[in-house]
Amino acid sequence: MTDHQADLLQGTLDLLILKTLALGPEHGWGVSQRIQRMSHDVLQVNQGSLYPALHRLEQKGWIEAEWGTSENNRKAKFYSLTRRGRAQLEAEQDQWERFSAAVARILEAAEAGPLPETSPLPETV
Amino acid sequence: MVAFRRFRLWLRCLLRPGSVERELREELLLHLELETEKNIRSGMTPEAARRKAMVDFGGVERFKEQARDERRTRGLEDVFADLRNAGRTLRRSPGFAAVTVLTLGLGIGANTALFSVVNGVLLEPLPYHESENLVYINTYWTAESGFEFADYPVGSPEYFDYKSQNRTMEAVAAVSTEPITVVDGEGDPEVIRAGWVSPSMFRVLRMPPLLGRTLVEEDGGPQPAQVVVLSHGFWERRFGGDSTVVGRRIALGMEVSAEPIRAEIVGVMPPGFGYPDSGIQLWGPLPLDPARTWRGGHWFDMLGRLGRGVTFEEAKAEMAAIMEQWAVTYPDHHVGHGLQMRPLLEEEVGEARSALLLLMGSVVVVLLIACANVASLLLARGEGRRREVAVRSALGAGRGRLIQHVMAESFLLAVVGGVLGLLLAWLGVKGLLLLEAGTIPRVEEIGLDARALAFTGGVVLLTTLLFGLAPALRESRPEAAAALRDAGLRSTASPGRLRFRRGIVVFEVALSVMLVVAGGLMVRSFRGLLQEDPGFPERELLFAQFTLPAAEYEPEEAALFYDGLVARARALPGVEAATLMSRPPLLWEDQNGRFHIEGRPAAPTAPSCCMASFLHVGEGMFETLGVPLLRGRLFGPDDHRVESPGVAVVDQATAERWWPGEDPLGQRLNVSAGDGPWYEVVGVVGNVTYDGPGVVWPTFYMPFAQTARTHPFLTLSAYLVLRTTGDPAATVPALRQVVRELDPGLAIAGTFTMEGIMGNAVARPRFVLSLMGLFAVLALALADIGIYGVMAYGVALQRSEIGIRRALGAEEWEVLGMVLRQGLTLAGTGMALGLVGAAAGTRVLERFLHEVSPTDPLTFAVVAVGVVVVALLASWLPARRAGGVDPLEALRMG
Repeated sequence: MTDHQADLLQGTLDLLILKTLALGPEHGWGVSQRIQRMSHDVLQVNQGSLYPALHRLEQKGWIEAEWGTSENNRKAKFYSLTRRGRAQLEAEQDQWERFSAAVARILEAAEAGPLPETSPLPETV
Repeated sequence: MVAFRRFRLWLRCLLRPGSVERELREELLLHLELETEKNIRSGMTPEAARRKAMVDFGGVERFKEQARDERRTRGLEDVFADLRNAGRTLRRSPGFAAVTVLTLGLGIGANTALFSVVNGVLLEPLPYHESENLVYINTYWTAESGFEFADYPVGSPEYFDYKSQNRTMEAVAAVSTEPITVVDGEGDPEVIRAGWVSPSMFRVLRMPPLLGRTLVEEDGGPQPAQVVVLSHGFWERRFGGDSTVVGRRIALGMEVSAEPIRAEIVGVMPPGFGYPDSGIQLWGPLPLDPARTWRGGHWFDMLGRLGRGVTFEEAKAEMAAIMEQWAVTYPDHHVGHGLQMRPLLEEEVGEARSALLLLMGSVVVVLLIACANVASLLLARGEGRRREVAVRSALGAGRGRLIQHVMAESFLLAVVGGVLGLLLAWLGVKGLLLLEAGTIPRVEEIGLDARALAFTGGVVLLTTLLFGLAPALRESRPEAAAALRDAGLRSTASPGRLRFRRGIVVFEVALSVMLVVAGGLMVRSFRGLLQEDPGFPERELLFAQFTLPAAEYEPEEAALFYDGLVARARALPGVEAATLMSRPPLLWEDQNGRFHIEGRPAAPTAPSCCMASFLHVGEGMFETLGVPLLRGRLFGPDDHRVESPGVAVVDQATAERWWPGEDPLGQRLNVSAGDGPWYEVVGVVGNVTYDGPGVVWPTFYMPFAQTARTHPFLTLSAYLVLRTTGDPAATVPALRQVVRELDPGLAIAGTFTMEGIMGNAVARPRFVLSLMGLFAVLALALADIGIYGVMAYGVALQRSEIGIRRALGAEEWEVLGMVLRQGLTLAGTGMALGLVGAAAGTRVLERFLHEVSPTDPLTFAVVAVGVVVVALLASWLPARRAGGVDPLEALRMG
């Protein structure tokens, strides 16, 4: 697609799916469209990894699936957030914010001058 | 709630994988459809829109697979799928599956069956409390004593001396057996075997009674109480299991007791108890008199229980010390003669031990061959699957997944083979028990042994999994993708592997050759045994055993009874001749007799000088049996009278051993320790093998009537010998009628045809031979399969080479010859190794072989030819296939 679309960071897909579903039940294709739309076309979900991720989250009990009817009147599998999924979303969101803040601090410091004493990166999410 | 939902999901994935798959497919199709519609909306043609949707998504199958991976049931689902797949592929190659399963089954079955027997007989403890502390005691005579007997009974002074002098035994007992005529209870009069024992036997064995009591110390002594304890079987058979039998009296007709015995039944033993063997029907106290000091008589065995904390070695060392003391105290008796002990289990198992160990060794070789075969088959199978595995790997299967996939087949084979093995083991144990024909002691201890099954099953299954794993590991390496490229080509990596498989086959052939040589030697030996001349024509002979109760028959009465018996038997239809003898040939082994020759110096330990068996015979015995006269004369009618001068007839072995270079005729001998009447040797007859096929032991004969003078009780017991014109067994009913008319209270103790006796005498060699033969055939068949497998595989690999040869003008027969040559080289190498191994290893067979050398050249030559033939057969099919290779097709495929 276009140049400005960034690859999703490993592990962030789960977070994005949970966040998208927090807005309401959606089927697989809808989830990918929502992510693309909400990121103003910056984030493009690798469609191939979307379904394994959905199944993984379902196995973990964070989302649940239900058969419904899609906009083109087809039978579709709609995913929605469970209570546990909502708690997980909050935790992951919190972690992500701390992580991105840390990365931002490093980038600012690198621009400002020599590196301070290095500290290991927090573990990836 | 969440947990429940997750469990439901897991269960659904596991139980209804089809519906889950369908949903996955539906979900992806919807996605593609929506994406396509979106693309159309942005102005693409429907075809371009659909293509773009597919491209954006990537490989549909790959992502389905990844989605599946996310399921928790993935592992289990895969296992099921792999097993189903393995089952399908095995059904498509039934030959491979059948041969592998059969090999596994035979290996497990044969080993488990035989090990179950070995375990039951050799390893399982005896059914007594703390049986490891029980010892068996008898006596030895070394050359120093003037005689040579490895095992000899014990005399009462020896028993009492050892009992009072030892400090290592908790208790000792004397044990002998007696034939007893029983009339009381249900059924006809019968002669049973009874244990005549010191009451301490029950204490030594620590065996409580089922009813009443066992014998106690007070029952014993020089004039023992008239009490008996019944065996469970006898109690049920003769008294219908009546519990009020305790306290009743039973009349016992005994050869050794001149007084009528009406013994009180004091107890009944539990089922399964029987000492010294399971044929003993009742037990009574053996008269033992401490005042009796004559050390020349020996008539019972001893049993002992080690004291608390005493080891067998300590007791043995103490016994040796006591024997040294006896040699000093009784120089006339105990120089080179004394007590010896061994663990009771060793005594019970006896000679069966070496036969069983030999068979165990053979069957382990079969197991090795089976393992080698399975390994070879699985390696070949692995080669055949290279391409498939490479394809799967290219399609994204992970390494673990590939290994699991390949192992599923090995696992399935192992399980089916294992079940077959269990079945064969069960049948095998039954078969062995049918085949052993009384040659194995303690058969009642034998049952399918779970540990044996676990062990052999484990070995074989491990082999299966190991050699299933080896190709799986190799083929699942990342670079195996290269195999995809050259899998269709003449597999370049394979000659090394082929070499390994050839090594396995050479090893198999070598092992099987060793077994076949062993089997061949046994066959030769057994044939020799069967052809062994017993010293008389063995057909149409019947022996009937009699034992007269001394309380009812004075020696004169006994002589009258036997005269009448012989006369009436002679008159029976179908009877050609009838006579008496004290011991039939081959029925039991007894080389314990001692006698003295007039004028010879006596042995250091006894008043006699020489060793020989002696028999008492009736009129016409030599003629009836058909023993040829060599010199002098046979007994005449005058010799069969009590008052006639003593005469003896010796056999050739006696003449050669005790009168080497001399004429025995006219010499005199006696059997009563120097002070009895003398018997003049009047004739020399041919040897008769009394102790076993081909076993010649010096033997001489005296007339029954003359024996009565010195050994009146010996005349009570005799075997009636009948030579018949037809089937000897057919005269038994008429004979029973004759006995009933002579004495209604008397029973025939046993009837034996000579052919039956001879069959029994070779029963153990026959048992060992049958099994060795079976194992040899099994080994050869397995090795044959191995040769076939590697040859067929080699031909498949060399297809293009063969194609080139054919294209360059090689004739079909040349190709055929090439393959056969390869097969023969393989078999020849194995055979050479096997023959060398056999020459080195068959020495262990020596004691099982009868007049055959362990390196018998004929056997080795026959086996060599046989193996060549078998190898040719195994290579024939692959060679035919190679000869039929179409050059064009082979080259195109290459």
